Amino acid sequence: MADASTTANSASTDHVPGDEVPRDKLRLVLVSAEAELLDTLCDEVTLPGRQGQMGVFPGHAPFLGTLQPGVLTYRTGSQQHRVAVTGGFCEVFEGGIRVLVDSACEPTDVDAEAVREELGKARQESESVSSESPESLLAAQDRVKALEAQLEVAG
Amino acid sequence: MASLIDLRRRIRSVKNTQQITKAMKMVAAAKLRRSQDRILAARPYALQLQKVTEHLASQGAGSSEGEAAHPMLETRAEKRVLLAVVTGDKGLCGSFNTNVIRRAEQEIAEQGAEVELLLMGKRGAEYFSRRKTPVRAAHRSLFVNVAKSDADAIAEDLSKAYVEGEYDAVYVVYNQFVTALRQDLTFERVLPVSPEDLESGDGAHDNASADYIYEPSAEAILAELLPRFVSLQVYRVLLDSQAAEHAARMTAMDSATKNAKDLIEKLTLIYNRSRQAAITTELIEVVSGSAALEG
Repeated sequence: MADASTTANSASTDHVPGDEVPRDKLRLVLVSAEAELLDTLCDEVTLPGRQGQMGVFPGHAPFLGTLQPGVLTYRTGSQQHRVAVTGGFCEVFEGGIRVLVDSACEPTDVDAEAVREELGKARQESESVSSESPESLLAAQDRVKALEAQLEVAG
Repeated sequence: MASLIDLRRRIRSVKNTQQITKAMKMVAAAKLRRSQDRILAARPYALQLQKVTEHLASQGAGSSEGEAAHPMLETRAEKRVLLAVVTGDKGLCGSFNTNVIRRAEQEIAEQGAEVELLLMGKRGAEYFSRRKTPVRAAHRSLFVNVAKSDADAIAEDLSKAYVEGEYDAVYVVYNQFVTALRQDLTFERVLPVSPEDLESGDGAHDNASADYIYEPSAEAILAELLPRFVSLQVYRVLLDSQAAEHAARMTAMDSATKNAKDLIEKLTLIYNRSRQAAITTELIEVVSGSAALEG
């Protein structure tokens, strides 16, 4: 993603005041607990919200929401980039969007064979727990969704 | 006085020890650098999580009067307490492990509540497995490679136990990494999460006045946020302790190398002196022998 990081101070994670981000751009910051994965300017971001897909354009109202495992898409010019993410949060602030995820996977990180195998296991598991508590069912479904997203990104 | 051969042997053995301590110091320094990098890598996430919590806190979620907004925020009278003791897997790092263990013992003695232990790191696990304080779980090989998934699993277990009322509070005692030369023994509360923790920022939040749209709701976000907050805290403690362990080992091995150097110097001096004494004695014997013949 090196080509896309046009932000001058991509190392800094502090909030960039609105005037440093062009009005027609969004600053996308994607971080997980292990690393800062992305800090880039783009035109549009689509997120897998807990309550459905959600698109964010520059000038979006301040927003704080939860994410479910799925595919995060961001567009720079005519270029589409896709990242598989697990659950987390997103926060839209003036001039940008912060996304906090438990982990994220770019197309190059995905080992399709291994993921497919795991997905089979996860699906079986999610069917077997369905009678138990709603939390463990949700956790199992999330695992399936996260793996499906990885496959989608890779495919 | 020791014989010359004994002295020579002694010097050689000290030299070998010195080489080992020197190598260990260098290994610790390299590992320290890696741990420090990981601490730095975790910081953006911590900062961002902090910002999100600040927005929630400024919105009044979590710090509502009377009823706690989430079971993980609820404070109870402390009757049963879980104490997480974070040590290293290995020794040879100065007082790193003993400090933690001593502090843990002190807390066990002084807490008015029933204490159970959660042990992270082999040293503490071995020490407390032979004591009478009950142990909830012992993780012996966490520090081979500290992974976020390990922290997640531990945090999930803690949160669940806390919400179900198994414990009324969860504390952790560990070595906090400050600089390569300084580690601070730290005693912290992990659960319940105190709203002050959530709010403690630099106070300069960018746009606290902005009206946020919450999806699905501030409470639902808080419910997703708190487990991650605890997990991040566990992860941070593990990384900190690991970095501190390497730093402590580096310092310990550095002084061990210095001690070995001093010892070698001292022994070499004694060796040379006794060698010289032996030569002198021999000469005197030869000279006095020939003098006796001539006389």
